[in-house]
Amino acid sequence: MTTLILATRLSKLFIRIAIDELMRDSSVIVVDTNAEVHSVLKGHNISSIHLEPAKKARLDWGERDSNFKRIFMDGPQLKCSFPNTDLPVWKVVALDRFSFWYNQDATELYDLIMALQWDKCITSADLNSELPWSLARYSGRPVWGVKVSSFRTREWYDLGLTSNIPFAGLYIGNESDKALLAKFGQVVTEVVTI
Amino acid sequence: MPYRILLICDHAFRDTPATAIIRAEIERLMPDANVLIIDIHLLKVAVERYHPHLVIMNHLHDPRRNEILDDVRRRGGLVVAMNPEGRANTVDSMKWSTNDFPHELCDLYLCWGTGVTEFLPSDIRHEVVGCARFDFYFEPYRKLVQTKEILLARYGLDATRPIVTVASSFPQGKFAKKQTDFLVKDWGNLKLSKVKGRENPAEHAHSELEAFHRFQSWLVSLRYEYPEYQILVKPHPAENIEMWTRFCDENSMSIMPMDYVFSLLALSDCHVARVECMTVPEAWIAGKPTVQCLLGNAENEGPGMDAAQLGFFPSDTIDKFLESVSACIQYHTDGKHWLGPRKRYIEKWLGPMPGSAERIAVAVCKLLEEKKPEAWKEPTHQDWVEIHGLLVQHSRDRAIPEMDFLGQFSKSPRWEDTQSWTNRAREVLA
Repeated sequence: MTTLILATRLSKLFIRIAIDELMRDSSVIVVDTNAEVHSVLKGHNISSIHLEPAKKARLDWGERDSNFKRIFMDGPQLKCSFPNTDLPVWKVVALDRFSFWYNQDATELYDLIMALQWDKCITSADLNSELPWSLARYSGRPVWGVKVSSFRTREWYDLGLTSNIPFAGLYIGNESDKALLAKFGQVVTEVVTI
Repeated sequence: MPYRILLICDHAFRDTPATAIIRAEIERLMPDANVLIIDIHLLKVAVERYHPHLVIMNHLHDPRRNEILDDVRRRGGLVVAMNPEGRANTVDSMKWSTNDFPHELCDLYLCWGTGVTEFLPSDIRHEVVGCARFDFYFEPYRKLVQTKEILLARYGLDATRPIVTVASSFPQGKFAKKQTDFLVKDWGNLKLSKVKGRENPAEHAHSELEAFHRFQSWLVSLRYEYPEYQILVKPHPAENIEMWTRFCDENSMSIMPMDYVFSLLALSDCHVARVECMTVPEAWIAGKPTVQCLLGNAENEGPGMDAAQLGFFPSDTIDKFLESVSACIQYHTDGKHWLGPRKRYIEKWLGPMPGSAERIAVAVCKLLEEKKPEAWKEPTHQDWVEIHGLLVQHSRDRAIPEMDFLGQFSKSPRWEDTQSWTNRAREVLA
């Protein structure tokens, strides 16, 4: 079974999990999408494939917004419009919270990653990158997220409330995160002590 | 916390597959366990970072490494002695290998066969488990041996012509002309120079070199007497490769410096080795005819000579040697009537088989469950980063095969190889 480790953002926990996987199994592919991340991985003797989108697609705002909704704003609480308007709630929330960071290049990276042979993915649970979320949602293979930033943010809280965290599970560093995520329900967590 | 088990590997092309299947078997029995296979030269640095609950060591004769193992035990860990290399050949060397080490360091001694237990002192806990490297002659691990077709292609051999495989076994011969001091110090350190017949290491090296040259001259005669035979030589892991490369080149023989004995025997129509060589009974297990060469400096008693008694063709002259090889090739056998005694020999000295890796894993897990060792501390994040970095760097530095200062070729077990073998073993078990 080949494990793909996709790093869009790093944390101590992510490094530890990557090392654990590499030491346990030789069938591991490590991929990153960011030059800075690549250099940190290299500094940890983790040999990583750096992927970068080759082309800059012309931006279609309509497509971008609908992709964004599909990935980040899909949830029962947001499937409604403001009273007496046609303005969807998700659009306002999106503009407010996440849309600013949404990166269209992820579509091409998604295709590149899907071209690799892998059975399971471990990736950064990174709110600033669409790629891990797309893989978790659409790849059809188990994708585990690794905590790379605090879960105690408004963004994670709202995301949690949508009951729409697509990862097969989340690697977290402590029991209090586990308790927090348990409130959102259905999130499988594995605590890795570092 | 899961148990951390450090498995020591001393030679890439002798120990790696066996340690890998032991690791896979331990993981099967104890899925939470973290098993790490490392080059013996990384023992100290790995122990300081990995904080193992248990170390499986190849021997306990080296006082410097014993200091490290002593630290492991003082910090709550356990030490298991398991010999992956070969069995001692003489009665005296058998006594040395089973007695002459600090018994208090050994929590468990894993013996190959019952013959070894006769020499073990009563204060050492032991189990008879066999040797994992022989598991590759049986299912399921036989699947991991490459097919004859692949091996023929790799060594450029012709499937239609007979193949005589040669296992060399003169590791001390290289010290006769240079680095004799190293041998003297090494044997002094290991107390090997106390063993009868090895009191004078320099003299022993000279006698080995003479026997080696005699062996090579026999092979040259074989080449000229039977030019249709293809001769494939596997140098001993501890020999100086240069003693063979030019010789093989000049005499149109193939050389196998970076492969395993089971690959050598997979190609064999007749296996040639000196009388005490471990590959002789190994060839019996593989069902290959053997020719044992009596080169004049073997001890008269002990497991080595016991094997010679069972050889249909123990050759002490060049004529007998040539005749024996020719007979083996012609009749594809070295005497089936020896099967019973040979089986008894194998059971006594090489141990029960198959299933050695599993028996080793069971013994190790039993010891852990019984003693419940607690490491004095858990590895920190930085420890893990450093262990990983160390293994990667060690592996990278040795990616290009080369001789070490003693002429041993590509000796260091690389992390990538141990990982790859472990994966294959897991697949087979799955």
